[in-house]
Amino acid sequence: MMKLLCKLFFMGCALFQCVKAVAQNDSINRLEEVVLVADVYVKEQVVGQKKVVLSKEEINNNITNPTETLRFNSPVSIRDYGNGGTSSARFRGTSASNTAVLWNGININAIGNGQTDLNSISINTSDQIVIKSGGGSVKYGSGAIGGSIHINDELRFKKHQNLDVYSSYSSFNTTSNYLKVNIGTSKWALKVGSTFNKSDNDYELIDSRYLNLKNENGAYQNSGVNLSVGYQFSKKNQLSFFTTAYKGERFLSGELPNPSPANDKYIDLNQRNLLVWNVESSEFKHLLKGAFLTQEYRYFDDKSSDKYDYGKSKTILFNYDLQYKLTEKTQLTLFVDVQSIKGDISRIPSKKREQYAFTLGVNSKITKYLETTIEVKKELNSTFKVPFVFSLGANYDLDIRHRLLTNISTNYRVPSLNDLYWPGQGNLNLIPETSKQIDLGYQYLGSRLLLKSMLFFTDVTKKIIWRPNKSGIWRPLNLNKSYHSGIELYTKLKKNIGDFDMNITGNYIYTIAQDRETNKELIFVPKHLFNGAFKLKYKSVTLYVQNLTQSKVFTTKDNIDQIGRSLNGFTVFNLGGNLLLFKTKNGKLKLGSSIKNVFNQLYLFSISRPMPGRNYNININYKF
Amino acid sequence: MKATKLIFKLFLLSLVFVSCRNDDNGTPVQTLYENGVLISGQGSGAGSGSISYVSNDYKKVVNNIYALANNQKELGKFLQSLAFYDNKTYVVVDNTNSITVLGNTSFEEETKITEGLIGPKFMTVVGSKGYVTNSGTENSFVAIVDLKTNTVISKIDVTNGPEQIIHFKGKLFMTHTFSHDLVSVIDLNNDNKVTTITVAGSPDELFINSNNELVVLSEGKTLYDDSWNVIGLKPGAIQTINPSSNKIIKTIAFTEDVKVNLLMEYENDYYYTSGGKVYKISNSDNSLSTTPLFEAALSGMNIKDGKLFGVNAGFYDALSSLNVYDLSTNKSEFDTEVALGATKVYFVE
Repeated sequence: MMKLLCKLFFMGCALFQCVKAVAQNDSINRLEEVVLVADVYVKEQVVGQKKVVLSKEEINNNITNPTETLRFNSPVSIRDYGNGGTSSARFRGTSASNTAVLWNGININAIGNGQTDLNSISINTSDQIVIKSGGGSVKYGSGAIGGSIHINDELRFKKHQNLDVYSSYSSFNTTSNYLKVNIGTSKWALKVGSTFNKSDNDYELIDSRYLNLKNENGAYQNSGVNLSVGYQFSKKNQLSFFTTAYKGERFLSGELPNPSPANDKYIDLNQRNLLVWNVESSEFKHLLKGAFLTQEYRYFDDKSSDKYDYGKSKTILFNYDLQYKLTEKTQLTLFVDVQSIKGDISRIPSKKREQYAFTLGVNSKITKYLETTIEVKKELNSTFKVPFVFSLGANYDLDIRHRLLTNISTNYRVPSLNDLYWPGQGNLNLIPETSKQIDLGYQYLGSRLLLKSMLFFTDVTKKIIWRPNKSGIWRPLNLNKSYHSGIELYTKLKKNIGDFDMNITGNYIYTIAQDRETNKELIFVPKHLFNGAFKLKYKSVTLYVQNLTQSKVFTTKDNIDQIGRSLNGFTVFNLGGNLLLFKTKNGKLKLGSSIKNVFNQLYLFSISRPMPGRNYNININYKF
Repeated sequence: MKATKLIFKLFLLSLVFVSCRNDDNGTPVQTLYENGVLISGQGSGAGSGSISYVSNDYKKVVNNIYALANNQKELGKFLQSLAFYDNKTYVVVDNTNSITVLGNTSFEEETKITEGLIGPKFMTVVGSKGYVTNSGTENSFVAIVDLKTNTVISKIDVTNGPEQIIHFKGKLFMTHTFSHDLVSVIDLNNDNKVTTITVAGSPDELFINSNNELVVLSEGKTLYDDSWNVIGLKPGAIQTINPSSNKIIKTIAFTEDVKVNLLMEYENDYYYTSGGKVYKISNSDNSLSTTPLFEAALSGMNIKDGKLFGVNAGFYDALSSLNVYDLSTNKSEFDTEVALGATKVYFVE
């Protein structure tokens, strides 16, 4: 293995040396600013799929935790175990392990359970958050059956110095803060960010059946730092390095009717490093990445004890992305990805998984209006057979504003370490879950109105679920099949009337997700999900209202419609505003405030764990 | 279709109003939950623990009887067991560290015991005292509840992981299912002195049989080495123990491939479940049966008047099923849906 890695690495270096020479001789001196993003694919190159990009403002309005940010601004449906608790995102009613979360293009789903806990990452200093609906296994590997969430940093090669500092204080002694500094020249780019969040999270549980109960054992505190640095040898040759560290400590809150016994604790420790080299010539674009990631959680059954269960993993990864411009209209891509993952989970002796993936793609701008991409991928995995996957995407522009798009793809999710090796219960005969998907969309891309719609049909088979056998021992099996169809809508509208600037954004998702055998609705999947915001700006004052609406979800496989065995539908409103205190040539200072859950609505995302009632926030943001 | 649904809803509403009115007049809503069976369901991530009622003539089946009588409140999870004292039902719920005391006829909540319990599992009643097994945080214990005042008055430390508990002639017997292969014995007449009996792998069910002997079912368990590799199986057994001397007097040992989940005695026969089937042997037999009575994957059972009430919690993600098997024909004569995660069946007069 190591030998192969070395070889690949040297091959990469050798290639680069040639290219570097070419690049340095490149006399074309482009004037535009160069922005470097390690995962440029999702934002720039995906063909035939729906993406939603979150703005900095949207993040700041829902900054408490990534769960809230995505819940109010993206098409994903999120289930968390109480506010701030473990949290997982689902697209289109597929399972949480079918959502890939990527940090600068690197899949960070935990090897233990195949999911990313949205409350164990920090996104507040990220520059780009892209939510891509639909499968993306060809490019992003296992777990991208339902969709993927991309958290990216940007490096700007341009003379600049920016500071962005934000601090907020909310009910329940909650504070969210970040600091972001960007400095750059035409040669160097540096970004430093840090985040700090803390909350007592001891809100009143507003379920009227019970009196005087508080969310107990729900406190959390987390901090993260990240550093990105890039050096530009030339406009077409840059080396960059991204690193981030995160530590979070959470207590896991209790449930109704008696939350007081809750006594457990969770610690997350993540450290990620990525080195990227990209070089381009007139025909070739090379992107070489090497990454080293460590992820660890510690679960304390008793918060006062030193004893804990853990899961940790170390990932070493190299990949090489080559784009070759065959003609003006046709581009070939080759992608080689080599990963070695070592997983260590209490109760499971240390396991190693090695994977080699090869992807070939052709992107053609067949006419001025039609662009297609075909990609195929084969992964060789040391543990099991991974299916061959393909993706076919097409964008057809009816004119400058109207676009039709389609994507047909197959995707997969490999069994997690828990599924394979859990002592006495793991099943070594598991194979990856697989899916087939067709997306059909229409988009209106106007300067004031953006409308993105997508019909989706997804068929997931060989789903891994845990079932007791006849002796009562629970074991994972490739058993279930599910069918998902529906429509996703995204809209963004800007309008100016005199001094008033209006801005509307909204996501609506209609989902039918059914078990193939029982034809019952899958649990925790809302049929209707809507989130949106209306923003009004007048001179230095901005006011906004946000809404989140979700229809009833069933929590039982047989779809029992009873209180306590399903979660009622709800609609929640947040109100907020901010005031631009001063604005100079260099800086601006904003003061903001919001009331969340204005109507004190009872709403839940998991059984017996109500979300906070009406609560208040003040914040300050300084930028120069 | 819609109209019938509406009519049905109105009908249900009218029922609620009628019962409310009963309530207002002070007449108990319940003479309802007598002469039948109570089924307790643990609940799961899909929903709270709950109790179902089925009348002896099967004509009345009511789910969520606690929520119905108590303003839609939930019991929480995991509802481990029920116990009965002085026409009251004691509901033991593990994760909420509580015992909810219900008026037996009304099922209305009278009080909730929350102090002094940590992970309570099962309660046995001796005189006016309840003895409740608790997993504890660091150390397990048996909490002693004064059932007159419904407060925990003291506790007895025991080996970790006590589960089912019974009482016989001044002694308490409890199984330690997960961590140790032990039965703990507490002598109430000797300063609550605790002794232990080592039994087969993973003891769970226990009862006093018709010969006044203690019978313990050990299910059998998987063995791991230090790095959690599976290195084998410790087989289970049905063991008969002399409750005065604590000596094991008979062992029906299982082979490694046999697991027995439930066991009870009815009219000098043992009924047990294994591999999704129900078997019967005489309480004097020295080996397990090879011919099942009928197929049924059960998570709980009880027998009365020649009828075996078996519940199947399935995968704990949907309502459980109850089947009543007539033991003269071994056929199910009644089935219905009952509490989520059903594991225990109790007969009420």
